[in-house]
Amino acid sequence: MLQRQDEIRSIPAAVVRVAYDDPSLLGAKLLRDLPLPFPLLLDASRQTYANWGPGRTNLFGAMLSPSLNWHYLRLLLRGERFPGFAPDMFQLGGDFVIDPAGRIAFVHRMRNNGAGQPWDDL
Amino acid sequence: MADFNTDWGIGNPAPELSLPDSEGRAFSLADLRGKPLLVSFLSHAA
Repeated sequence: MLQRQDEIRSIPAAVVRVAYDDPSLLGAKLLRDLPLPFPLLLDASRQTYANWGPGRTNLFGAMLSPSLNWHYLRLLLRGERFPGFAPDMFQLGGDFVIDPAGRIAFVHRMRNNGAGQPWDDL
Repeated sequence: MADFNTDWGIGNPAPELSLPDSEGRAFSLADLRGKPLLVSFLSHAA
């Protein structure tokens, strides 16, 4: 995600991202010294996740999928540290485009935790 | 092509979203009404 900041900035819409990690873990994973090109919101209770419904996965999708392990291998090959375990390894992510009137215009739900986010299509 | 689920909630009002940001400031979806918006939920692997 942080490697694609220019693409995120080029999206012709406001962008907010929602995370559920403990703030200290999230800081270690994301914030570092880098400026984020979007507000990063914290949903520690995951109630907003539940309301919006990006969904949950099973053991395979959470930890055993080839795409997820390839994702972690690439991080390690780039010299990054393992980001640590999240409070809920089964929680999936997703993307929602909201039109100016506040209606849902587009939805993408991750199939597993290794699935990339579709910046090119967005 | 990404796997878009185009029949899920399309055209419906977005659910409320009111959360603190990473610096503790309150954020509400209503703050950005009138602009297109991308709301992206992170997974643990983000």
